[in-house]
Amino acid sequence: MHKLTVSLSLIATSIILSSTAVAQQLDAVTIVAKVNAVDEGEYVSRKLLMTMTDKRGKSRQRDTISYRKYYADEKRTVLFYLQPKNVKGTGFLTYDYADKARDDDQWLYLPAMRKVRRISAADRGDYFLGTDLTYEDMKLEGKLEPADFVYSVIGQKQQQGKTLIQLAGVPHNQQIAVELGYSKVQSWVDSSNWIVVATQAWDLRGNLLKSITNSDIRRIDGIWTRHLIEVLNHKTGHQTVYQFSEVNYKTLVKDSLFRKNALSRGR
Amino acid sequence: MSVLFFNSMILCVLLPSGLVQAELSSSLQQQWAFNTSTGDSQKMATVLQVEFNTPLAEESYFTVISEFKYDFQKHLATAQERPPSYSSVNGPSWENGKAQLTVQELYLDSSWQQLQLRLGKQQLVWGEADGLKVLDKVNPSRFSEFILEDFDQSRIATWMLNAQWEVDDSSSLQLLWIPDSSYHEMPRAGSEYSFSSAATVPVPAPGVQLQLRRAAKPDHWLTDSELGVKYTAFKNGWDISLNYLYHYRDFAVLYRQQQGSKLVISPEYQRSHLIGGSLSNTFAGVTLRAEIGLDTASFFLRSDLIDSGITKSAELSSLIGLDWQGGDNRVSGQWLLSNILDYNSQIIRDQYEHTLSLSYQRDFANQTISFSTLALHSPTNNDGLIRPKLSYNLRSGFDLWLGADVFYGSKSGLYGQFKDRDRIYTGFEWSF
Repeated sequence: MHKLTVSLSLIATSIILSSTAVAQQLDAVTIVAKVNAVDEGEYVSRKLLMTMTDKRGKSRQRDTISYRKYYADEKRTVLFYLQPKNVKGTGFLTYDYADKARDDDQWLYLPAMRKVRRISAADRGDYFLGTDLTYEDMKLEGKLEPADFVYSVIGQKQQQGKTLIQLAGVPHNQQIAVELGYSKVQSWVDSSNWIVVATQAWDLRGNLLKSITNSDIRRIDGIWTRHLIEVLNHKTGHQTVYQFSEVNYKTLVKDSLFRKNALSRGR
Repeated sequence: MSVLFFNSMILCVLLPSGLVQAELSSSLQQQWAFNTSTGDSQKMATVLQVEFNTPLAEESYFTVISEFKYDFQKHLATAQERPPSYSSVNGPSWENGKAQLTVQELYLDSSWQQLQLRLGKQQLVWGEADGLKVLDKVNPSRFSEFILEDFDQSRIATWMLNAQWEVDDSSSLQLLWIPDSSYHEMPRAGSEYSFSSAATVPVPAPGVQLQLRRAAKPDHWLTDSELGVKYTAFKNGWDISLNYLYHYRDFAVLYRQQQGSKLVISPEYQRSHLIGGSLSNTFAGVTLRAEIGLDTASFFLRSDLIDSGITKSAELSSLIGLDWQGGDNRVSGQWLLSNILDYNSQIIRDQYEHTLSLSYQRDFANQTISFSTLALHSPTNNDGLIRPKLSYNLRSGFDLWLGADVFYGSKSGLYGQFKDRDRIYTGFEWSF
């Protein structure tokens, strides 16, 4: 029995060591590539409940449904507000082009105006509709952007049986830093599924700006999916919790949802 | 057939099949406004709006938005009785002095392959302009508060068939058939925002008695129906539309005749063809918007009584706008030009009329607080309107606001005629 225990311990230790060794051997470029290669599905539909809470504890909720679909390298996303009634019917449509030099095309439908408005692609560092994630954060959907940051591996740790690799990202230049509003980021990547589980970002003065935690990560239709994202803005004390539900990668998402007409119809 | 009976019949036919997945959402709004010139309370109204949505079948949805309004003061009412500008199937379903029940919208959405249908009473907006109208002439409007009411409140939904065909991935064709002959709802004579400038209403000479006849209102569901076609496309980053509307002008033409010591006014509604288009694109963070519209028949008051005091002419209107957004700041400017193509010196209005608009909005505290201001200025008449507003989202679904509407300029101008109707307003909306 004692021998068996020792053997199992040795096996477990060797697995952890080999996993650690693998993580140590991988360079940042490879890790970023693995994170960005995680399958997102060609299309997805999901409900998203956003709960925004200020530093005094006052909360607001936004109940939405969103759809995303890839057309080769072009990503189209549409978000409809379902509740409460004072924002119900608001719709936001984005065409995100693979060519980084080309600005996204965006449209906003405001029910009070009964009109779809063309809007300029927001500055990447602007906050998305009053939440604590920026337009760029939303667009990346947990991916990493090597065109903006130089990444390096700065550590790793074991957590609940998983190896988490710590990456540090520094903007390529000051212009990118100003655009994004970040002087530095650090992310923890789960080496078992290559999902980013936590990120911290520092503002241009080097102060900790926000902490992002991704949890309730599970496979849906075979695809690793984050169901809970918690973002705390350390500067304002404001936080946003994003809860995803009814995630569906299998049911075909209609092309007609990504047209201006769908915005005004709310579906 | 009463409006209430007509709406009830449609509800009875459509509702039973889809109640299982029905959604109900409501809002309660309280509005107060004070005339700062007189110090009098101008408006104190409670508005309860209930929206009901339900799927009826695959790809078919039903929506009804109804509104109950209780106006404690009625200073802004259009008329004591049911406004005559509505068709027999539009207007309030029920009213009793200060209270009013209206089906704001009631429609069925359905789609089949590339075809999408919206059938029923609905609001529809054409064009790219904000707050100024060139192509936005599908629905009539209510002017009991001039243009101060929110657009979704003042725009009058009409019964129509709205069909849209997706031609390909980036273009579509829309067809409209509107059998509902409803027109602009004008303010009651003598009410707070009744029109008085000479370019908009006849002003009789001193001692001359005015006699207003009942409007000759075309209202046959088929022969007086309106037709519209819109082609939209998204090409190389440009949003483009081409529009055509065969419609009735929603302002009655005020024909005048001198009969003895009386000036008799005979309002009539006249047909016109609206032909136009719009475009928009973004450049380096700035959105460019433009639209143009030619109405083949517009009607202008003359200073004499030749041709019953009216000159008919085509009118060309164009608008260009620029929007910029940076962080929590948004700035938007527009320039509208209206040109009377067959102008003569007897027309009271100038041949060219310019209107400039400038709006600014800034959000604070994760969009819980918002300050906005809109300025409308007419260089032609040197008058205008300034509208600052502060809004606060107190908690989920609960908003408060405080604002002001300030008119300035000559009393003969569109805005200046209300220079003694400045107001401060406040209110709240609770969504549940």
